Amino acid sequence: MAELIATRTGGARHAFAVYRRSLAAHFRSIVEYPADFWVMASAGALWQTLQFAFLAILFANVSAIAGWGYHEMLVLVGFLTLGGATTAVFWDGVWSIGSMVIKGDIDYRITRPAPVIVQVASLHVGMQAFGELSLGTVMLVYGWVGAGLSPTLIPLALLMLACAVVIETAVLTALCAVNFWVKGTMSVFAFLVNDLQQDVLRFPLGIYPAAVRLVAMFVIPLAFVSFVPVEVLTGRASDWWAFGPPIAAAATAAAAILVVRAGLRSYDSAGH
Amino acid sequence: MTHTWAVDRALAVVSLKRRLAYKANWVFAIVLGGGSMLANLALWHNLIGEGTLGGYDWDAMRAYLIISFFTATLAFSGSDWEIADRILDGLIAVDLTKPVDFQRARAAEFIGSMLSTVPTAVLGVVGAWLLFSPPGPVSPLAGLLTAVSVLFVFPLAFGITYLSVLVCFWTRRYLGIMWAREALLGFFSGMLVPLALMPAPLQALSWALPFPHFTTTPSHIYLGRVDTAGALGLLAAELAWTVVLWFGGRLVFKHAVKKVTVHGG
Amino acid sequence: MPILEARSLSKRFRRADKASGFKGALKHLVQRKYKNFTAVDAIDLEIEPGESVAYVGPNGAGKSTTVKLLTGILKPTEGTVRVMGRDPHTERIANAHDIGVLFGQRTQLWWDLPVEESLKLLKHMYGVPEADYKARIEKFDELLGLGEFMPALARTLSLGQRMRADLACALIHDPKMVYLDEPTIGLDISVKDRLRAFLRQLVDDGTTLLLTSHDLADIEEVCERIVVIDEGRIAYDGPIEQLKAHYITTKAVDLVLDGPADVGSLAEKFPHYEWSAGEAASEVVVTYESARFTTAEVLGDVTAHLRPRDLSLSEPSIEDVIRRLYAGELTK
Repeated sequence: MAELIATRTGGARHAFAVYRRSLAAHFRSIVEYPADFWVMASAGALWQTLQFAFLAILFANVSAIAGWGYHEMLVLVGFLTLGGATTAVFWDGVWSIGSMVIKGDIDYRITRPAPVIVQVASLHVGMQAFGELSLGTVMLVYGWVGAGLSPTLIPLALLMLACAVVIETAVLTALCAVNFWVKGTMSVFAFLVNDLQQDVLRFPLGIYPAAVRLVAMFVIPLAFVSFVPVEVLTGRASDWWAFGPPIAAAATAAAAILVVRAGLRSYDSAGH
Repeated sequence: MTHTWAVDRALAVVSLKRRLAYKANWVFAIVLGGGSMLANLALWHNLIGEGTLGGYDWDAMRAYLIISFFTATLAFSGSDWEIADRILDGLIAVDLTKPVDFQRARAAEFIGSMLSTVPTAVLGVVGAWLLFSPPGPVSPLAGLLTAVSVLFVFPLAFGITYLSVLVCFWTRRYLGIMWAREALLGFFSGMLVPLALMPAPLQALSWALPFPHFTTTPSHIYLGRVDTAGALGLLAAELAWTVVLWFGGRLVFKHAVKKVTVHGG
Repeated sequence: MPILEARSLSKRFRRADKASGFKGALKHLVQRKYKNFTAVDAIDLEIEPGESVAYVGPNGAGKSTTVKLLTGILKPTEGTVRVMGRDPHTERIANAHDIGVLFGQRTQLWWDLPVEESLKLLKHMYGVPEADYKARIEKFDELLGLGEFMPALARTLSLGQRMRADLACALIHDPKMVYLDEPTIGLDISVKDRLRAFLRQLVDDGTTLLLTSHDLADIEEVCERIVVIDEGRIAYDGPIEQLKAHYITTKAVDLVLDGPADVGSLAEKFPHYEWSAGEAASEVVVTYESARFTTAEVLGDVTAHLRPRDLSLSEPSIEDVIRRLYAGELTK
């Protein structure tokens, strides 16, 4: 038993080392070909700048959205942006599961001594995320200060942000892994959910019918990425809700692991 | 060059058929565009309530958002990646040996692929119409002119997309360029927030760009925010942008294609 | 004890049996119908350490599927595989350390990274000690000329460079059992020669090799044993020399004459040989059983009667034999 645990933890450590080195190699290659980086990072920054401008324009005309003020909205969008952007930096490779399944590129990964999903996820770095991370941080900090949130909440905010990244990563992974069964080069489901998340969860859930709230909390629990944490931080929800993000993170991570495992089991390699 | 309308039509039809073959695209476009429209409806319903914002009451805003959904579905549906990939893969060298005008051929294909989403867009509008029953156009003439202004979305979307895709001659990837273009289009067209709510300098900047013609121009005409003379003026501006973008594309292409020749293809 | 052992190994794929288009997809949702397709059918295979085995067969015979079963990529429908005593599918990670795999059609290089980075990542993944890594890279550079494109991005490599780099990737951890699926596909002659020389060296150094290829020169130069598979079953398994001895029983001499050749009268004159027309009107081919006649005898007979301007000796190639094996003309 002890031996089993030792190999298990050894395996996890090895997997993490493989992941870290692969990502590091990609970071090095970014530095060597900076033009791509700047185009992507600028595009990401542009999106977020316009998002910021959107909120500023909106709040020049209204004083609140469903009771949420300007600064609270900035914190909300900050959480949404940072959750997604961090995932794009560290786990962007999963987007290619679909095309790898079609081309049979999963094959080599199965013959190597490291978890397949770790090898795939570290195949790419979403460079737009650097622009998003910087602007997202600006919005979050500016909103935080403007909303007068206490610095004592920072550890809680960081914890919930970490949970947000786990939830984003897990949901993205599970949705991309659907391509093990539904063959296609584009991760349609991940793309749809990602886009809808950007459109819908950029506003407080209070403006939507109850059904939307239920789906965002309990079916695909993306509300725990941005909405619930900010509700907790601004005192709209009771402190008990702070347990929501970790629970959602654990649940989505478990679901993602199950989906990926099942996907790999049903993988039958390309025709040739 | 022996480029004829028959060639254009053939290219457009092929591109349309290729798109229609992927039935998933339909569902995809409607879920994406429809989801965004519903979210926006919820937002503006909450914000406007019984009052008005930037001169829009809830009735006008419903029409605005449905028009915005329709034009956005068209504008984001063109086959931009196909052009970008040709440039990035160097296949363009092959295209240049063919007796067709590159820009015209791509325009035909692009418009063909845009046409493939018309059924989706119409379906979405009909659905939204039944659910939210927005007001009709301010007059039959305004309705007609709105339709004309929406037709301009086709050449304008191509013009802007083509110019942005040509940047691929200088970069190795297209994704970032696409995002930047979509962000600018979404913001300055008024899809994200009506231009009327923006501060005056930003409004002036928007109107100096081709983007407002995707959302603001059709909705202005439809809702009667401009009179007939104003509507005709906006249509003239659309026409002018169509011409400017077309010849701008030619100019940039002439410049860019030197790179292909220099590299030897 | 064999290094690789497959017992009545079978793989059946289930394919959705549906009409094309949207209607077909809908119908399929309601009444799910599938067709079974047997890619590999009860194969028994044993490979001893140090053997070099060629695995050949026509397209769609089940070669690649077998390789995927043996490497643990696919789970067998029936039967078992053991590589060094392990099941490669369920003990995937432990098995991975002992095997090296190359699929000629695909690359395992990290597309956006320099070749060197790919090799370094694999070095860490397999836990290769630095000194061993250096020695192997040096060897690969010497034999495969790796150094010239180590700093290049994988996606900028030519096909020949990519294949050499992929071979280095497959061997960087010094695997005991190596599977090469079409390692020379699409390469030009000079790169092929280089690869074959490298593979011979590999075999001489004691690595166990299973190689599939459509190029039989690869097989003849690298392998000692040949397994022929057709329609998922093994049609022949044995030493290549034996295959030749068993099936290559005739030899032929191509003669170029001054004038047009009269095949009919030659056949009358020397009925114990077989005569046929050559490619040109002035050419004629004489075929004889190598067990009955020596080449000298045949040439003596022929030159006593004819004055050929030129002649050349030929032997049916192993390619001919295998083609006939596929066609079902030969049975063991």
